[in-house]
Amino acid sequence: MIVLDNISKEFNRQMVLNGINLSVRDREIMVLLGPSGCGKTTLLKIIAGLIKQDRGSILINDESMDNYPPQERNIGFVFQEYALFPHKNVYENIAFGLKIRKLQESEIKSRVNEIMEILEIQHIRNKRISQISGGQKQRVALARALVIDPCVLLMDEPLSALDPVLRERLREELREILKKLGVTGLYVTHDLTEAMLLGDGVAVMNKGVLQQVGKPDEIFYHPKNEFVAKFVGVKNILKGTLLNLEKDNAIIEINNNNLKFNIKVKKYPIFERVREISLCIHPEDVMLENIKNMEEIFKKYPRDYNIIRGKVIDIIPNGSLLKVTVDIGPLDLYSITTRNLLDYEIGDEVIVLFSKEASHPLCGKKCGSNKKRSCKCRI
Amino acid sequence: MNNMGTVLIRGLMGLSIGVFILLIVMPLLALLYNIGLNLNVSINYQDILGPLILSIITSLISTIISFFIGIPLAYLLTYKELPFKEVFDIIINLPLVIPPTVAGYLLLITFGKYGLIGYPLNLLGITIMFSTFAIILAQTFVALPFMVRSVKTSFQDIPPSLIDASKTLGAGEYEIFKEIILPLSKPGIISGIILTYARAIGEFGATMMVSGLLSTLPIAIFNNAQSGNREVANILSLILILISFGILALFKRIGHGKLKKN
Repeated sequence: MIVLDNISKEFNRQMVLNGINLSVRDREIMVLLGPSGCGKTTLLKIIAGLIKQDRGSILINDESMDNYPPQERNIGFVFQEYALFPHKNVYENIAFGLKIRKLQESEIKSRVNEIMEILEIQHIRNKRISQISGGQKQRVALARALVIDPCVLLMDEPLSALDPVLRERLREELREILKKLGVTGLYVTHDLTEAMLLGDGVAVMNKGVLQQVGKPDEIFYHPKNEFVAKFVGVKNILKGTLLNLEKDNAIIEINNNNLKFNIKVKKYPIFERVREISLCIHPEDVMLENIKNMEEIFKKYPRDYNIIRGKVIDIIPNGSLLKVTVDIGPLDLYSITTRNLLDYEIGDEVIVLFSKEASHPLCGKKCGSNKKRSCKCRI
Repeated sequence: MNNMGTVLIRGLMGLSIGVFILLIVMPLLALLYNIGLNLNVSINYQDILGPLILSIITSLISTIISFFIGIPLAYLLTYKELPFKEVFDIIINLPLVIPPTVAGYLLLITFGKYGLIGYPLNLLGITIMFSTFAIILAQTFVALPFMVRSVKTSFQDIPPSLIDASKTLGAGEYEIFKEIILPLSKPGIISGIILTYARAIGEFGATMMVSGLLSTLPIAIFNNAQSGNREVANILSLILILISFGILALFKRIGHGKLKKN
C-alpha cells in the first residue's frame, strides 16, 4: 500500500506539487492523469526517492520511505523512454537489478527466464537494445522493473513513445499482465483511454494539485470541476442559476440568457443548497437532428427532452466519430456522432436535444446514491 | 543576382583552396623537398632517437596521469554539486587558452628552486625543475583540459534517466560508474586519451621553460633549426608530422565508429 501524505515540492520558487494526499491499496493500479507539466513525473520521482520532497511523507506498506535512498526503497520504475542500458543486451538489462543484489547466478537466470516467459520476450534475450522494436523495449523495461520483485511499481507514460496501433494493443496486454501479477502501482499518463482501461482508481492532477480522485467511471461521468470535466472530454459546461426546484426536477437558466433547461436532480442534494451551479453534459449525450425533420423529432424523443435550435459551426473528424460544434446562442455545445447519422453540414440549422438526466453538477459524486455518505460537493 | 552569388561562392572556394595549398600543403612539400636535398648528408641517429624516445615516454606518462586525474575531475564537474563549479570549470580549461610560455613560467614559480612548492621540496633535497619529471609536469599541465573536456562531454551525453534507472534497480554510486557511466563514455575517454597524447607530444613552449638541457621532439627541432642542423630538424619534423597524422587518423576512426554506433 502506498500513502502519500501532504507531499509538496518547489522548483525555483515555483510550486510544482502542492499538498498531494493519495492512497493506493494493495494490488491496485492508481493512474495519475493530467496534462504535461502538471507534476505527475515529479511525484513519481519523489516516491522513488530520485527527488526529495520539500514537505510531506511517503509510506509504503506502513513504513516511511523518507529517509531511504532510491537504492533501498525496492521500487520498480518504468521510465517514459524506457531508459534501457544501450551497452547491455536484453538479458543483461533485465538481470541488472538482481546482479546488483549479488544473487547467485543460477537464481538470476531462473528469475530472468521466468519474467521473460511471462512477458513473452525469451526469443530476444541475446539481442542488443538497438535491435529490438518499441513494443519489445517496453516489455524489457517492464521485465527489468518487475524482476526485482518490487513492493511498488511506478510507470511513467510507458506507452507514450509507441505508435497508436501498438499502443492500443499493448495497453490491453499491460492491463492483463499487471492484473495477473497483482502489482500495486502508480501509472502516469495524459491519455484518458489508458487511464480508464488500466486504472482501478484515477487521480486527476493539474498544476501540482490533485483535482479529483475516484474510480474511472466516477471521474468520467461525475467530474468534480471544470478542469476535470474538460480533461476527460466533457467540453459542455453550462453555468447557470437555479430558477425552480420541484421534487426531482429543476429549471436552470443559463448565463442569465433566458435559455432554460430542465434538469433531473434526484441524485444531487447540492441543488437544495446552491443556486449558482455548473453542469456538464457529455458530448455523446447531445443529439443533433436536421431541422427539416421537426415532426419526426417530436415523435422520436420523449416530451421532457431539452430541445434548442442551433447552428452547426464546425465538424471535425475524430477516427470513426465526428465532433460537431453547435452555436446555441449564449454558448457552443459539442456533440459526438457517427458518420452515418450526419444529416447536416457546417452552416445548417439543427435541433439540439439532450435528456433531463444527461447533465450532472460539477461536484464529483453521485451524491444521492449513498445515503450514509454525506455530500461534500463544492462548486 | 543568382549568377553573381554563384560566382562569389566559387571565387571564395577557389581562394580558400589556394590559401590552404599555400599555407599547409606547400610547407609539407617543402619539408619533403628538403629531406630529398639532404639525403646524402650523414646523420647522428642519437640526435633523433634521444628526443623521440623522451617525447614518446613523457607524453605517455602525462597522458596516463591526465587519464587518472581527468576522469574524476570530469565526474565531479558533471555529477556533483560544487560551490563555484563554473569558476572551477574555467580554471581547469585555462591551460587551453593561456600561452604555453605562461604555463611554463607558472610551473617555474611553483615548482622551481624558490617556488611555492619547490622551495620546501628543495629543502628536503628534492628538485623538480629541469628534469624529465618537469617535462611530464608541463605536458600534463597543458594537455589535461583535453582529457577533462572530452570525458565530460561523454558523461553529459549519458541520459540522466539511465542513472535514475540504475538507482531504482539498487545500484550505488560505484556500481553506476562502473556498470553504466564508464562503458557508455568509452568513445569519449578514448578520444580524450588520443587528444591528450597529441597535445603532450607536440608541447613546446611550457616544456622549453622547464626542461633544462633535456630535449623533446619539438625542442630538438627548434634547437637543430637554430644551430643549422637542418637535416636533423627535417627528419624530426617528419617524425612528428607522421605521429600527428597517425593520431588524427585514429581519432577520426574512433569518431566515425561512435557515430555509426549512435
